[in-house]
Amino acid sequence: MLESSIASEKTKPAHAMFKATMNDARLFRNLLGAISSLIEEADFNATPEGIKLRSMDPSHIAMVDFEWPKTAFDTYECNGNTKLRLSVSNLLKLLKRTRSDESIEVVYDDTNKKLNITLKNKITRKFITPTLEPSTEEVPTPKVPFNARVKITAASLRDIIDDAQAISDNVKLEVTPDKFTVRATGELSSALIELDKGSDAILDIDAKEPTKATYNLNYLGEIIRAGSGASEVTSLEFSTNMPIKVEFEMPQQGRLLYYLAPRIESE
Amino acid sequence: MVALSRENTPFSRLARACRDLEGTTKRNEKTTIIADLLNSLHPAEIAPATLFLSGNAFPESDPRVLEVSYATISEAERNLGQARLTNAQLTVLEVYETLARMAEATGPNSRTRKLNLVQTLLTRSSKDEADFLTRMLLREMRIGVVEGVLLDAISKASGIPRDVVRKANMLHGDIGDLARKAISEGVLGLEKIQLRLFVPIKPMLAEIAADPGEALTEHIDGTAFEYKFDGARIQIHRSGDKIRIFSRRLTDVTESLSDMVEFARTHVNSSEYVIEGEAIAIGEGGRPVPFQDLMRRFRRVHEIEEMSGKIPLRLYLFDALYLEGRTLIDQPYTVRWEILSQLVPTSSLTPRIVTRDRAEAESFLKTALKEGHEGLMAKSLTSNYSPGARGKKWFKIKSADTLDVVIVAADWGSGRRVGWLSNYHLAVRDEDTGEFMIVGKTFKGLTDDEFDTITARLKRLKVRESHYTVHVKPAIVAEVAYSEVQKSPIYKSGFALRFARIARFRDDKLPIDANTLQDLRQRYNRQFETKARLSLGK
Repeated sequence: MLESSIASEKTKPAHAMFKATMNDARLFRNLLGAISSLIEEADFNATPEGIKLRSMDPSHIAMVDFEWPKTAFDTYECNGNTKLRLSVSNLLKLLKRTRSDESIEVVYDDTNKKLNITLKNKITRKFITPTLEPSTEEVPTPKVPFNARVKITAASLRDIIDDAQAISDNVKLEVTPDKFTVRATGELSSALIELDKGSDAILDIDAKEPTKATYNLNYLGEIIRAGSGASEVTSLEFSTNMPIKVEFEMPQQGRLLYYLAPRIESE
Repeated sequence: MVALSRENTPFSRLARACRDLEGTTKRNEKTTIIADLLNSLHPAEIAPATLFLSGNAFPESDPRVLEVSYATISEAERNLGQARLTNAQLTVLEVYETLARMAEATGPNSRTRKLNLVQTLLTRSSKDEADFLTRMLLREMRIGVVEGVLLDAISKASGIPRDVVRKANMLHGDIGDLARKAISEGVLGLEKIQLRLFVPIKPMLAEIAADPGEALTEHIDGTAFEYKFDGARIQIHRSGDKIRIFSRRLTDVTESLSDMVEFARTHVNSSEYVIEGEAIAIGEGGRPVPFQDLMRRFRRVHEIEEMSGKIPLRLYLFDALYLEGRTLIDQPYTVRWEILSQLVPTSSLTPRIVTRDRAEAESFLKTALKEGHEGLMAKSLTSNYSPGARGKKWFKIKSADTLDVVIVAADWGSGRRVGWLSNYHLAVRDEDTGEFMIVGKTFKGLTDDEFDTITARLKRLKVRESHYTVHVKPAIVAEVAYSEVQKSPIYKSGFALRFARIARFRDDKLPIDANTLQDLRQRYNRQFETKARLSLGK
């Protein structure tokens, strides 16, 4: 731990800083919102290429992998590699009243460890918020094979998940080469939603074999609600009783994907 | 120096120690298990691990509470069956951080938030870990680790003498931090522990005395008798604008005592001090309100404003422990009282007398009781303040309750009482069976003349004699004063009177008029109610 911080000290310039602006502040807020559903605090890595974040939720049931390339911003400057830990929920609180006709500027200076946020429209609002001590934990990428893949419009997926969540805490996903089925079984009611390969909502289905797994809807619901606010197309990849990868296509080569571990079915 | 372990000791290490602790009743073994554990930890892990073993997430002086219900835990348990993305083990620090988040959760969504956090922990727990966590959350550790064992283990792990560790603990109020200091800073670290502002100090305790005479005999350098109020003992810490008030159990109760905060700000002639006193509630006609009503103020943080109107408080101070950079606990009582009386208005001082005259002390006791208070405290004039210690430097002389009992047997006296039947077996009547059931024995409270008379009467009532004991026909009714009704595994009645003393003989009463076992049970339950409410008050 000590060693690694000494090593990074050497490669770092005298003091690192980064500055990014976006004309639509609400876009910035929505992307943060997509992370906040799972993670309260996260380490943001700012590099000259963009901002990256990979974080595991505390129970290690889900993780988020997020990349914001510099092209996603209207201006972006970063003179080295900087890791800063932020309370995402706290940040969202500051940005709660953000409007889409506002622009946002985010500046971080390594010397005082504070994040400066400026929202500009007719009036200018400035927020200064402290950063936290970055963690030293490395977040691994789950190495799992994916046998089935469904590409679906984010809006339809969101409707399906909302329906399922009204009935049960868990949802069972099944993919065959020509059909995507979602089942939710509650104490009283159950729901069965079937989408054929040719339907409007389904953009693509690819399954090597019939594949099924069950996921917790508290997690999956949060993920899908959060991601569908920032993206229009979602792809789901999983294998039988294995973690699912939920990827939201991002407009400017960004990357927003989640992994979620399955429920262990005691059938 | 020993190689430091990293800050990632798995929580399972602690869970295993807990299971081992549960598996032995031997104090030595428990001490060794804990000492070995403490020595294997990274310094940053020592404090939380020590607290966890004591069944707490936070130090006594910390106002944070977990407040996780059994329902929440069982719901979390039902929701298990969730796979994870990694096999990473829970670490001691992760558990601590998660518990801290639980304590932070307040407001309308706090239950869901707590449920998620409990699930977070349980999902990643093995069976042993889950078991330990659940016990801790429900505050039912049952691993036989009392504070004394922890202190011994800290002593053993650090090599610091036991009495140094114990003394530091009295002043510190955070056994977790104490363990960390002892192990990572050694004896110098502990010696630096002084009374600190805003770290509550364990209150000095008193033994029970039957009457003022007992205190006068014990305190050869003189005694101060103070009113003992039926209130809530508090200590007030102030430095500048910051004022915190702690309960007897070292809980921060500032929020529920805004009127006391106001007093501390405006009526004390210094801006840096620790003083101690009793807050009592005043009811109609200026008489004290029962203790449980007072405790309600400590509980209902939400309704403070409303409550302060309903139960006005009065503060009676009795000690000064710290003043403007100076710790006073090693000063004698007289010096501390002198300092206190310079600090606060006379009307806020606990009423007291300093006397060596037994009759004067007894009449002072009577006055206190008549005014509705609990009794007197008797404090040695030369005594220092020993935090957390119970001894003879302070006595409490409580209003003894009285009970009419029947003498059913008596033992022949020994020593000075040879020739008298002097140890009386006291009984109450069981209403259901009519049988007289023994609830205690006493030889206290009688004059020599009374011993003479009563011995003669008992001999006439003798039914049979065995060994030293004369069994008699139940006929003599005595009014007995006692301090407490206790459960007894020895007497068939199931109860025993603590500190029983014969107040007088009730020749005006027949055995049938004596108190019953049912009365006693009721008194016992009443005591128990007060205690139960007290523990809720935290």
